[in-house]
Amino acid sequence: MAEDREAGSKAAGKPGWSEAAQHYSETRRMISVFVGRPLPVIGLVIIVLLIIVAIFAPLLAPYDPYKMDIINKLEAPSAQHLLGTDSLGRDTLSRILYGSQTSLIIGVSVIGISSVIGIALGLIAAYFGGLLYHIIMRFMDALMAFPMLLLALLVATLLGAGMKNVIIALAIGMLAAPCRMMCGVVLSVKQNDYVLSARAMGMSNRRLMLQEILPNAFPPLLVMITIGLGATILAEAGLSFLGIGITPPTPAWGGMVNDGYKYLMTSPVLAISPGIAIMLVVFGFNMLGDGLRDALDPKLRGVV
Amino acid sequence: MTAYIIRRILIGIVVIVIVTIMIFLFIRLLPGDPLIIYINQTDMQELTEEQLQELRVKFGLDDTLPMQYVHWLGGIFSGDFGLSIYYDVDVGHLIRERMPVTLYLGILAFIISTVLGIASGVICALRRGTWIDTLVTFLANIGITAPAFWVAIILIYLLALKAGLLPVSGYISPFEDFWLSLKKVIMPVACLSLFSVASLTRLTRSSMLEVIQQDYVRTAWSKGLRERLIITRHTIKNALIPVVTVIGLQVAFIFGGSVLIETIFNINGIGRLMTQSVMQQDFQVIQAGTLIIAVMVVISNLIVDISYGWLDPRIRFD
Amino acid sequence: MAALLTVENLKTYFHSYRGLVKAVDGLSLYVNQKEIIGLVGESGCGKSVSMLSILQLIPTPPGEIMSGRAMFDGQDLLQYEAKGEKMSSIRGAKIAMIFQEPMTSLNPVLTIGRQLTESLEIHLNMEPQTARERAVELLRLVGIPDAKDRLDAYPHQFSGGMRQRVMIAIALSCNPAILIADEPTTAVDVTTQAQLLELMQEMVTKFSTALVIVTHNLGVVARYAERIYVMYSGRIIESGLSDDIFLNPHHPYTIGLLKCVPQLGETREEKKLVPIKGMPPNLINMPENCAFLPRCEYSLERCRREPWPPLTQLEGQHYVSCYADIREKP
Repeated sequence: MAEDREAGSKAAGKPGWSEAAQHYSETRRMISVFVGRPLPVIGLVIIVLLIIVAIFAPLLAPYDPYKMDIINKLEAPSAQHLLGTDSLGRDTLSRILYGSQTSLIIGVSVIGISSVIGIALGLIAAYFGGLLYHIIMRFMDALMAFPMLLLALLVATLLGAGMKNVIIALAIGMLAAPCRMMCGVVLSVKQNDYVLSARAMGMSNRRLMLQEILPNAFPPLLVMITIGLGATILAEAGLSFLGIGITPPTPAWGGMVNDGYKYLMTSPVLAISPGIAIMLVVFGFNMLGDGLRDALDPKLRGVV
Repeated sequence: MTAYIIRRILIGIVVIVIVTIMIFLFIRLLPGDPLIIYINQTDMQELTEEQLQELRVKFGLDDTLPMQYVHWLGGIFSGDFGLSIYYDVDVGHLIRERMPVTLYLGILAFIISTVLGIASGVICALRRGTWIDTLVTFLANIGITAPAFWVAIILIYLLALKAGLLPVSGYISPFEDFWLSLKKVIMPVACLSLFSVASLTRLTRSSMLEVIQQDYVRTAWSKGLRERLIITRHTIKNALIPVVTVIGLQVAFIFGGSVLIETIFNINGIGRLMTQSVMQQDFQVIQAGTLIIAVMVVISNLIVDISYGWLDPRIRFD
Repeated sequence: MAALLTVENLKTYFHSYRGLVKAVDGLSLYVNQKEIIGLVGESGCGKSVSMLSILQLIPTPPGEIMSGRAMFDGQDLLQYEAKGEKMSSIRGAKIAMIFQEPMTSLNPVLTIGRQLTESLEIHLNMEPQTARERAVELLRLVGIPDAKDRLDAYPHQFSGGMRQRVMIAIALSCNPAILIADEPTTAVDVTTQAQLLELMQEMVTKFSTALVIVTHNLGVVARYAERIYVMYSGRIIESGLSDDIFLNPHHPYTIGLLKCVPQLGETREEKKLVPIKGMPPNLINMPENCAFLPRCEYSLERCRREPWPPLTQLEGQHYVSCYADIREKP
């Protein structure tokens, strides 16, 4: 018992000025931590812009991204084509704008699938413990032994081309992280009094897991999703750069870099501009994730 | 400590076994005739059904799946990784040729990213708020967002094509021509380590900042210890604890990166071999290459785990 | 005889984004050689901050020592650079401190022995071997069994009470003139509390060290302290000999505190425990007048109009900061 008190009374050791904080709600503090720093806000703005661009691409893009215009191919940036045209005469700017759709769709699908499955597995494994836990953990370890790009490469190519298979490939690669995170959460929460008392009251396992334990994962999960979206977009870009998965002529930023690579000397814009788009978006997600993490619980650094 | 090490090694072995099973099943469960693992598809079309059946027996495809797995594993242990359909050479030979290249680049990248990453993280934390901190943190934030392949292209464009300072591509062993090798290796290694340096810098920085606020650091100050001693003895070791786990992840990441970087820079390492074999559906190579990479990742994670135990006595004595 | 340590009008403020927190707002006290004094006040009144300020252990981005002097050995400690050589040679060697949280106050990756010997090596220039032997002696003195073996153990292998003993050993290892114990027993159970206090008294007598016990629990200092300072809202509001405070309290806050402390031998009928009504004050935007006013049962009209009462002498060493006469309860 003394140990519990010892463990729990760290706060009392801090200087007394923190008592003033008691008068303010926790949410307000979190929000003010978040907006107090410019980077996370910039991140949020970028992501909102991304979503707007993706949704309104048809309205925003000056040209049809698929429309070829061989006569005007490989043009430098001009008033008509702000970022020039590619080897088939397609407007680069429009392709970049439409590429946001590809990135978002893939990102959201991959993260959605891998998070749901990963969390489910982690929840079950850590909750029931024992052999099941060890089996699932070792399986995740094995999964993490494959570099993600290599894994995605194998799955995507051998399953065939197409967006769907890219999503499956990346989702498999991103499974391990939410699973381990969830395991960590469950293990740390499992012995808490409110869980034990709920169980003593006869709450079913399923309800316990979903209602009592799962909500604890939401803060780190939110951060993980945000950062994971950035990571997925990077990975997808790498894959489409290698020519795997996204079939041309669908605009995909990584693929565009690949196309542009051939014309690096003559038209560097082709290869450089999609890369900037990738960087902006990933930057946005990362800064947003950082801000969320600091607002929710700075102790998550290194874990998520 | 020994109990801890033994436990981690056992777990490592289990994981490797699972890895082998995963690779094996993955290849075997692909659609189509499993013979394509061994025989060129175009060749196959010219053979009669009886010849095909003979070949199936020869390659043990008529055995049960578990038996095939055992045979394959047995082959691995005796050094037989199969035959590459595309190159028509022993796969083991191919790997022995390519692996040192990837390892050379990878180890360079690993060392650079670990040393540079941790050092800059520590410096940033100690010089928090100064221009150094702001600059390096900014660079680190960019480093984790920039796609390595794109940075590679930009570097090639600027340093090789425009300025002509470095060769565009290719690889030469440092034993053959040290200076040329160095010049060829700078850009690929830089690209390989970019993400790792950046993320280790960020992580080390925040870990140090957190440690500096801990009660035991205040105790160290209250004992009258000097700042340098407090930093070296009381903070760095503590700060490295969460960082070490991430260092382990960099190994897998660098291997993954080499797939892209080797392709761009035309370097004949395992990464490029993997990409090509996947395109060419050269299954034996894929199997063997993936296996070797995965095993190396597991082993390096094992080493990381063990050093984690050395750093944090709470893990050791549990 | 001049006091060992004299603190004059210490003010330590914290810059938070909600405003300026006046944690310590004009505190003065003194410590004589070999004395045991108590600094008592509720959580958040600034007592820890005041002690940390003396040793310049306040984190200076948010915190700032605005004014005041801390005279020790003829020098003003507050004029030294916080991370400088002079301050470091005072800490641990002349003035030592132990903290509330034994669980987190020791470095988890270093052995107990290391954390003991480093002070000895730095301040007393001991050779490693000598330092180890001395460390074993110290551990035995504070009652750690199997001291020699335990030297190479890690903090997590000790219980909270044991860790606090180790902290005491570390603090006294270089024979400081003053030991400041900041809430040393708050985080341990009652039995260990009693043991630790006995140990501390024994040790400071043996080492001829002065002891400052900082606590929110009057009961803790009742037995051991010779003089007591009562603190509220960043200032001393009553001070005097132990008997003055316990038998003849004059400040309404002190009276309230005493009413909260259960006394052995009294039954519930004889004396109810009466908590002090109201909440501790917000240290930002403090009013000019007496900070205790909202919770005071003895307040006068004067208390509302005039600024915070200065510390005035009642008799002998007994000082109080109050306008009211507590014998005339309204």
